[in-house]
Amino acid sequence: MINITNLEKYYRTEEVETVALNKLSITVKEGEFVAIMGPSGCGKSTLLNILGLLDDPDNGSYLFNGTEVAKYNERKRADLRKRNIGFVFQSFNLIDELTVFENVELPLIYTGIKGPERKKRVEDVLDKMQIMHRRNHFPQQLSGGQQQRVAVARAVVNNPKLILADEPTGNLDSSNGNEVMQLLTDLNEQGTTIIMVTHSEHDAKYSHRIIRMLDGQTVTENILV
Amino acid sequence: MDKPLQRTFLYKWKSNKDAFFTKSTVMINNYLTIAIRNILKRKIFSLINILGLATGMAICLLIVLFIKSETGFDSSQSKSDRIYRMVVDRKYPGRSTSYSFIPQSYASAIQQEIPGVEESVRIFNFIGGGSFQLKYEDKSFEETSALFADSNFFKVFNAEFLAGNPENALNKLNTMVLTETSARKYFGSAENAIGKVLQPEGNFLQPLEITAVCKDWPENSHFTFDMLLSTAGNNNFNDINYVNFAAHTYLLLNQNTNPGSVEAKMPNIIEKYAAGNIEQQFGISFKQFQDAGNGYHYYLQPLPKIHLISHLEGELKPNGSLTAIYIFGIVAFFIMLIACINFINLSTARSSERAKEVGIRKTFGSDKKMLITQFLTESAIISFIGMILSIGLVFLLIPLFNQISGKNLHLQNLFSIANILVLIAFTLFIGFIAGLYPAFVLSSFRPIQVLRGKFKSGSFGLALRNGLVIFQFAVSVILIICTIVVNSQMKYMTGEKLGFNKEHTIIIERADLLQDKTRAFKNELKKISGVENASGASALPGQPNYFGVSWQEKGSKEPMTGRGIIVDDQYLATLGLELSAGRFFSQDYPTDSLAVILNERAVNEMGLKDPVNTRVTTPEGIYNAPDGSQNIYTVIGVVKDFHYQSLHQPITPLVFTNSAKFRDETGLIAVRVKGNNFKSTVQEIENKWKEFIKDRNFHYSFLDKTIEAQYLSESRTQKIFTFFSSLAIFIACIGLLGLAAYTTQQRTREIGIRKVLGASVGSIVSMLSRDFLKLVALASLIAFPVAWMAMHKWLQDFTYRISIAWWMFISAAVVAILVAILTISFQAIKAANANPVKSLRTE
Repeated sequence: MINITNLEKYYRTEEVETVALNKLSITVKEGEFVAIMGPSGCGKSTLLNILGLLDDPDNGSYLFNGTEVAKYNERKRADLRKRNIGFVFQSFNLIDELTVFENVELPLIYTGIKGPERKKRVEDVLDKMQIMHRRNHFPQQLSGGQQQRVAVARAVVNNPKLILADEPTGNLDSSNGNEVMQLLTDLNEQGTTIIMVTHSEHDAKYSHRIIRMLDGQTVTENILV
Repeated sequence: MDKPLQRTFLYKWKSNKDAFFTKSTVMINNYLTIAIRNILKRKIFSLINILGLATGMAICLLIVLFIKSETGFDSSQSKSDRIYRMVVDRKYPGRSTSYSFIPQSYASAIQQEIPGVEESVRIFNFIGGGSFQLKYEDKSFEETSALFADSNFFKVFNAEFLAGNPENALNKLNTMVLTETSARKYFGSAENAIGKVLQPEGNFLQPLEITAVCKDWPENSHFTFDMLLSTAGNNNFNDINYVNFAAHTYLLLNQNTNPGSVEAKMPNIIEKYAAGNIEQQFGISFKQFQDAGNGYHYYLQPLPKIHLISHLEGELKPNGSLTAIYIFGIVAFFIMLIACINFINLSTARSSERAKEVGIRKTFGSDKKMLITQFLTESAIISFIGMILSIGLVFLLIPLFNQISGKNLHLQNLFSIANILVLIAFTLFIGFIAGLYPAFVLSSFRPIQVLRGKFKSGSFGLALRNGLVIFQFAVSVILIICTIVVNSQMKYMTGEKLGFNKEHTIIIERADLLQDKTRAFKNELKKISGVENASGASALPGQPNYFGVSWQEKGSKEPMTGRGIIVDDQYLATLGLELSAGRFFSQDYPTDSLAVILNERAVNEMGLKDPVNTRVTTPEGIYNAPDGSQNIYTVIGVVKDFHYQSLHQPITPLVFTNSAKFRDETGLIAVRVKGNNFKSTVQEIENKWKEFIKDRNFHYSFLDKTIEAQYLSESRTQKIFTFFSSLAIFIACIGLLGLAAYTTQQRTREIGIRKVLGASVGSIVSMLSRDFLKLVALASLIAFPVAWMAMHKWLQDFTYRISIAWWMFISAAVVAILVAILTISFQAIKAANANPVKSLRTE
């Protein structure tokens, strides 16, 4: 599903050039659950952003389902993103001014799903995440665990092929964290590919494979299953 | 396009149309939801934003109403595009004066001689600011607004008639047309008035029969009347005269006649008709008359423009000012700009708050265009709320604005269909202008940066915000400086250095009614304990009724033209004038009826080295013997120059003659009253008047008010400047308040750290204020030269003017800085007093 080869990314300020990704090559197959680990600054988030088409690489190739997307423009990337990729962030990133329902509905609006269908899909996913009773609340009225469940609901409402999770349990206590990891595992079992960046060895154990990074390169790969 | 392709295109469009519309509606719904929740969530910011915008819009609306009213004068006249007023520049040796009225016989002469002139009509303002009394049975009223008009008045000007026939309403001697209000006043209704006769006082008017009643003359016309009297058969208006100015003359031109061609034919007609009159009156030919430096330049003023362009002698109403229209237009533009700048500043400053939302939306599929649409929708909504609020504000401000501008504006004038469409378009436009830059800034955020919390407002944004704050305050400082300069000039014009004492002086009007009892009345006044002095005079400073005179040294051929005034022996003492040579009139010298007193300017113009005892003569009829032989007058004194006319004009030569020559009868009596018990003294004077004149009311005015009235237009400018500069500062401060609140909020963590490290509240307040104050100081520096240029130009209109002083600039800057400090410190002190533990924990 994902095939990146010799990917390079630099960050430049006026005086310093930092290498974020250094000729990185990774393959992720459809249906895999991959955890990416490594110390702060090793390039894992940069990698995730490029995989999520939020950022573009300076060099190298990125095949998404066999299509080269490394040089896609903003509009094409947005289009590919909204149809295929769901995101889960450490800090949830829900829009404070929208209710739970409206937050989850947002990706469906952008893909142009019609009203009744949209409502059904949002309700289904809220049901599945056991957050239906909170549908009219605003994010600040929820606990961290509940917020992350809403964020996961939002990530999957469009039935994406790929979910990118950036430290999804980083802001949660362990019981809420485990719940979220279980949600991701369930989704993976239903066929969704998941790539997750994490600092937590505990969370990484939920995945099939751990990629460890250092200084913009992969150092080891552990297959867990 | 070939068939299959066309089919595909149509098919695609049809199948996508529904989806497209559904998607847009949902999207807009979503935008509206977010916009409204955002407005409600940040109530203070929204209030600041909307209030600033609404205030700006309210001012714009007021100014639009004002400009609409000022430019719409006489527009209710259906033939306004063909009506012209004939006016004249009269050249005298060494000077010229422009009159809004012309000799009374030209109307018919021009209509006869120039084929394109369809009608010519004259109106005569015979009471000229005074009053006369009309009586019907037991009802009697003082009338102040009556005009004489030719019988074809209603062929040129249209009015709606409630009774009577416009065709023949003014056909006969001693007939009149009343307006609805006047008819009601005397007779209860329009119908009742027809055929009734009103009895006037005095000998000048005969009983007047009412032939018609028309609706009240519109307020926005350059002349007005409560009653029109017929000139038909009245010799006063129909004697041949091509020299003396008396008639406001209006020409109705044919559809195809060019006013320029009519003007071009005038000089020949003038020469043809005036020559005889001139020879008769001055004993010289037209050529000699011209060679001596005299002449006439007649020209036409289009009716709709008279109110804005014409400022001649004898205008029927004080006219408006084109400059004021321009100034107001510019002020409206800048105030709206300041309000938009607030919006831009606050929106971009707060962009970090919206950054996360932008990041999320982009991550989940929004593109830049959608985001721009979203933010523009938001600013349009705010703009609409602002517009609705501003209409409420206009409603509240209109009475104040009317008072200041001397207008009678109504909010209803805004609500025609066309105006509402314009208002909506304007609102959208403002929403677009104010929202465009923030929309671009917000929609360009990169999701990965903002979602990671790495967002920082860019340096360009900061520079722009600073630039805009500087601009706002520069405009405010300019307006403050203008206000100070205009105020100082006003104070100067109505102040101490006029050369006479204007305080505690009342002017009794219609003193001519006293006739031979004038002296007795003045003597009675002086017996009242509160009266210091009383003096009869034909004119007092600030009034227009100083008549034109021409005097010369006996034997000299060089006449000096100037102004004349007839006064009694107490004038000098009552007004506190000063003598520079000789003495003033005195009852001890019976020969003083043949004495004159000059002002210094007159001495100069006549070139007199030793003026006292100089013999002088004048060709004016009233000063000479009934048989026409010239009397010889003696100069007995010189009065120091004083500003008897407005400070717009240089002091001109003034010649005092003694009222003793005219049995002491004068039109006015000036009474200097002691400061205490002012009210009861005036009451006593009134009682005295009633003893002398039983059937006429006592009318008086104040000398200082008369002086101020000369500067009505400046005094409006002054008030309007004060009004606008206060509002401009208010809007700028609203913006500054928002920005300061935002900045302190942004620096909460920094403030927390500084406090933990030992910073005092004072040092934090000064740290937060310093940056803004630098901007305000810079704004002042930019404002100084601009304000100086504007005010230097404005002052050129005054012959006597203040010089612009450095303290005016400094005080304006100090005011701006103080207001800014107040605004900022409110926020800064709050932030500096906050508990640092709290702010650091939010990290």
